[in-house]
Amino acid sequence: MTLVQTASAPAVSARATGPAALAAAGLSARYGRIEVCRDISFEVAPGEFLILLGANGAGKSSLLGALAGIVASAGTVTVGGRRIDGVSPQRRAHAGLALVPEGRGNLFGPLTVDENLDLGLRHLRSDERAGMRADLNRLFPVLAERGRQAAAMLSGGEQQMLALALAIARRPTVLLLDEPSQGLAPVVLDEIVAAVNRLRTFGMALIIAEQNVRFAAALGDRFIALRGGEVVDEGHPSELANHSGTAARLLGAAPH
Amino acid sequence: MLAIAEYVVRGALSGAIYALLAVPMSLMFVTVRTIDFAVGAYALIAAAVCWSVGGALGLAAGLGAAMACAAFMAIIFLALKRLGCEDHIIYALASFGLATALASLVLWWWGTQAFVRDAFSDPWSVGGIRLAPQGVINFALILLLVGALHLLIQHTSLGRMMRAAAANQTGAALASIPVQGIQVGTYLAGGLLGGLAGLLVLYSAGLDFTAPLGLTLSGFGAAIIFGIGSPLRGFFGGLAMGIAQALAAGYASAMVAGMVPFLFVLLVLTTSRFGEEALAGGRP
Amino acid sequence: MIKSITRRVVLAAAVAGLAAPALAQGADRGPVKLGAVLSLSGPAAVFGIPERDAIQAVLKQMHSTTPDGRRIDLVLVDDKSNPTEAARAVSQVINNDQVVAIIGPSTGSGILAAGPIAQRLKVPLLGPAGTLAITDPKNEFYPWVFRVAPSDIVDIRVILRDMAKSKTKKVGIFYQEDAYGKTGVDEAKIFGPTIGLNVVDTVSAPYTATDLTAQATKLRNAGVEAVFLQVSISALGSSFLKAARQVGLDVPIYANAGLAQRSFAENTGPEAEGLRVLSIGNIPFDPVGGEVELAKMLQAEGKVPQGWGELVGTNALMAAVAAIDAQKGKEITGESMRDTLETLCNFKAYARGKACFAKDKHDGWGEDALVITELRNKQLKTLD
Ligand SMILES: Nc1ncnc2c1ncn2[C@@H]1O[C@H](COP(=O)(O)OP(=O)(O)OP(=O)(O)O)[C@@H](O)[C@H]1O
Ligand SMILES: [Mg+2]
Repeated sequence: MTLVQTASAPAVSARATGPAALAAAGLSARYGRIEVCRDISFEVAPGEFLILLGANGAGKSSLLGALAGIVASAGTVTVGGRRIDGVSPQRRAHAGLALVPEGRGNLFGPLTVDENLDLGLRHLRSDERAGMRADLNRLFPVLAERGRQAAAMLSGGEQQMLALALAIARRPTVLLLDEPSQGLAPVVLDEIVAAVNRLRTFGMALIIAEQNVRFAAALGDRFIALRGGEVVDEGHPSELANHSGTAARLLGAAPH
Repeated sequence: MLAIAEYVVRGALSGAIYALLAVPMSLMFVTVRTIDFAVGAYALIAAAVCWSVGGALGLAAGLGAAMACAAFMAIIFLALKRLGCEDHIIYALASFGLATALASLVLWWWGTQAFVRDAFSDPWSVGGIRLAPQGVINFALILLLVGALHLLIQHTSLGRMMRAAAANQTGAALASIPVQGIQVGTYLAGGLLGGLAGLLVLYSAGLDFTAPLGLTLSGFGAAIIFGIGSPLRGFFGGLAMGIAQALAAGYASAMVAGMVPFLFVLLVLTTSRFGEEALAGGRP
Repeated sequence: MIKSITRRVVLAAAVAGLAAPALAQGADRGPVKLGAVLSLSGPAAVFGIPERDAIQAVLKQMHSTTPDGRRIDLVLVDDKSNPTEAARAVSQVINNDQVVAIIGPSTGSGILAAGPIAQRLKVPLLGPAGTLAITDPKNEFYPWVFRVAPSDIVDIRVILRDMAKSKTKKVGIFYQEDAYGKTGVDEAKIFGPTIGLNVVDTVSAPYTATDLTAQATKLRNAGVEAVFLQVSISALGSSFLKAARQVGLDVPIYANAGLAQRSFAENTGPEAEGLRVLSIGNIPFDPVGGEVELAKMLQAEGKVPQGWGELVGTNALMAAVAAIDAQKGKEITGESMRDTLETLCNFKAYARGKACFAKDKHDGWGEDALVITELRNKQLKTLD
């Protein structure tokens, strides 16, 4: 179960000694015959926040999709030590994996906020639901006010909150977040950063795909960098903040 | 004045059948984004089998046969998916093929005869209008059924999952909603509701092997006229179609009358705000 | 001496031996091939199958030999109720089987599609359909198509005459939306007034209509005294009858020959009681004369008479038989069959009435082949 195929040893070692929250080995992703990610291996420890860095088209979304089962893939994936590769997205979700796709793609626009959340909560035991709903309301107070409104009618930031709430409502072991910063104003970003950091109290592991370096640095414990569908680097987010050159090299663009 | 009222009442009663057929159409369109052209053929099969078996057992046998045909369609759908076909036009074409095959089967086995049965002999007189009790029963039954379905879809956990799967299939898969199961269920519901429509037609006007396409298109017209997203709108769409047809038969010259319902659908689609929504599949 | 006699006998025998096969191959000794292109499957099979059964039963009774001793070989092909198939089948039986006349196709549209082929390949068609257009003198293929049933126009006149007997003045028509339906309306509007009947209202429906109460209401409101159903689709017929009963349209209702079928009579409910249906003869329920004979032949083959398909099918066969025997000793070709058919009059057939063809008259049967029946207790009883 240990990872063997990365070029260098992890910069931050797993904090727990039990099985990794999520481990991928030799993972590839493809659309039809076109392979867009190759031979990717990494691990996330329980409670660890991992940043997936990469420029446009680097393969971040494809990698997350491959983990969640909505993009065709090969290789092994385990969640909490249990193999989940080769099964349906539904089964992977049951095994403890949650994905918030790009553009809040896990939301159901015509359904109300309450109905969206109920769809997430329905997997909990009935006596746990009220408590979880209260937790979500505390984490995202705005959702409590907008319960009867259709999800599609919320603002972008509110939708991102709802998408997060929906994904964590069932207490996943690992949460995959695809570019939560996308399309959001800087003020709203700060709210999202705060919200994501509050997720630490839930104890779940987190993988965030990002190309906004500052945003990423504010969130993660560790990063791995993708380019052309392959892992090209990994390290601690402080490296990103200190050496803007690193970010530029990774993202193939000038820092800002 | 009474004459108009009479045409409206008669049209509403016959439109209820279209309303019933509109329900599976709109369910199918929102959950699988396709049309099951075989719904009219399920109606025919149910009527033919029920006619042959007879009695209460006939009703059950008819519904069973319609469901079996719908299950076959669901298997075709799953097979196409397994083969990697995600093209919704192909599903629609496959159902068209099945509809043709079922109509041929009925023609081969039963011939061109009409399937008609009678439960009641004497008409009721309501406010000076003579109505067949069966027509009134059909209307009440369909109203009840559509109401129940509306509640199911809007206020139950199953209904919520159906709406979620319809709105966002990937999201539904990520939320552990059995999308494929819901789609197969929708095909089966098409068999059940189409079959029921067939039985109601069997006990009212009657039908023969040519009926499927007409029934399917009437149901589809009813489903889209006020927006395809909800069975309740389909219900009113069906009534509107029936009333338009009856008024056309009553007042337009015979050769034009046949076109009126379609002109009516076209008119509603091009002028109303429902039009855009209908084409967008009723998503807000 | 004896030797020379023997030689002569041997010679004579040899000559005879050589001549005999030549004689057997001669114009009037080999079998004559007839084609039958009938709708044995598809919607028109209700007519095509009885046509086939009756033709086969009669041929069997005749031992496939005409009264004059000419053998007949029948080549049977299914046109699947499809005009394209019918045209293809007609050219197939002419080209591959060298038939000299064709019974069929079963449907009017099939005959219209096959007409030009019959003309080009010079083989006459004996069409068992009422469709007016098949014997329209304006058709280029007119010389090659003979009708062996009364035409749709004759049907309508007989129905209107029967209506007029009971002092009816105002007639309403319900018709199916196609050429057949339209023909009925047009003819009724022209012929009705000549016998004191006015068509005061017409209503229609497509084949697939499910509810006809609005149509029945309109005729009721127009105050019609009799209704005429110009439909060939039994579902439309029974649906209208139900609607009429429901809305209180309590007037005599007449239906055209499309509904004169055993399956219609036996499968409709009480709403059809008293319906008057035009029919070509009445083999299933009230056979007379030649119909009795034909019914017996069918029963001998285990067939139950279905309607008038048996009669029009055998009309075609008997016309061909009469034409063959009229050409005694001559070589028979498609052209000679055509020429002879135009001279036939009063030949043996099983339908009632007198059949005659002529150069300008390709409709062989007329009003005297028709009867008005009334549906009573799931049976069509002939009225007189
Ligand atoms: N549905 C698809 N079909 C075919 N190729 C695709 C599809 N989606 C993505 N790709 C290709 O896969 C590669 C990786 O795309 P992906 O969306 O994973 O990148 P990304 O890192 O998420 O980029 P972005 O930052 O723009 O979201 C790209 O080359 C893209 O063109
Ligand atoms: Mg992406």
